[in-house]
Amino acid sequence: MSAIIDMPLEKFQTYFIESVPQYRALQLRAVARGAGYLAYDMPWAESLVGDPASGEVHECAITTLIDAVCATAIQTRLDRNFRTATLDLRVDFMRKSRAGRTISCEAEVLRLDADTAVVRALAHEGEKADPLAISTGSFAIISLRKAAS
Amino acid sequence: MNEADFAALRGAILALPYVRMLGFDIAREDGVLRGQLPFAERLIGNPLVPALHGGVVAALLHFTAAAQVMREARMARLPRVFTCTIEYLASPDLRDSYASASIVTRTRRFANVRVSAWQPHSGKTIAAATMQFLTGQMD
Repeated sequence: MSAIIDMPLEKFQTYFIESVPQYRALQLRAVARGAGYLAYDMPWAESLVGDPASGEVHECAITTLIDAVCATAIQTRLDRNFRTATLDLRVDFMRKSRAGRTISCEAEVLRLDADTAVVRALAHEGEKADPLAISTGSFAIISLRKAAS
Repeated sequence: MNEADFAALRGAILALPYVRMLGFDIAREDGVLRGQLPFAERLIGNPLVPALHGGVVAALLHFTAAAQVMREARMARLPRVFTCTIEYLASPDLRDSYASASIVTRTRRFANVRVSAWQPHSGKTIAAATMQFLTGQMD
């Protein structure tokens, strides 16, 4: 049903990341995906710094990464006749990020039906037991075929 | 808040590279702080809808809320956010966006801030958030 998870990672990168200006600005990289699971990396960059004294990446860049991974994780279980829209997103920040470290985000779809989805995500610097942020989001499922809606 | 205090507040926010990457700015209108995010191509999150990215709308909300905390708690630095809940209310068009914040409650250590963002061309509220900040001096 869904051709999306069968895409080679390189094609996935082109289709879901390189086509989106904000994702190019954050230099996001798709690193793993399955049905209802997705992981992206966001390399450290000077333009993402939220505290020039420490070099940490700003929390809002991490929020953007989380939103991106959650929404696209849902897409791995849908076909191209559907898109998603974020309804709400809660993010709890656990600690500061470190200068120079790539930030990884993994998201898992907990529930998906015809109307909405619930997704949980974790952002970390390579060690899941020491997360930067944890997040839960609710998403609307939008049919692109008028007749189907 | 006098002219020098506002200039210092704005300067502290615009000193962040991430803020400059977004193009966020803060202004005063009739004594009220107003965050602004002028449209730029790099802020697009969905070229097909088309729409701004929800994450950059979250950043507009965040920096507007942080500025309000700095002003009311008389902080020289940005407060640290420890949790936030963002509600997306309308698809953000590829246009300029604005936000304003109000402190719901504030103690010596914490501030709970309600903030909303809108786009004047449509008159729609595009997003709102509750953000909680630490207001004690960091580090």
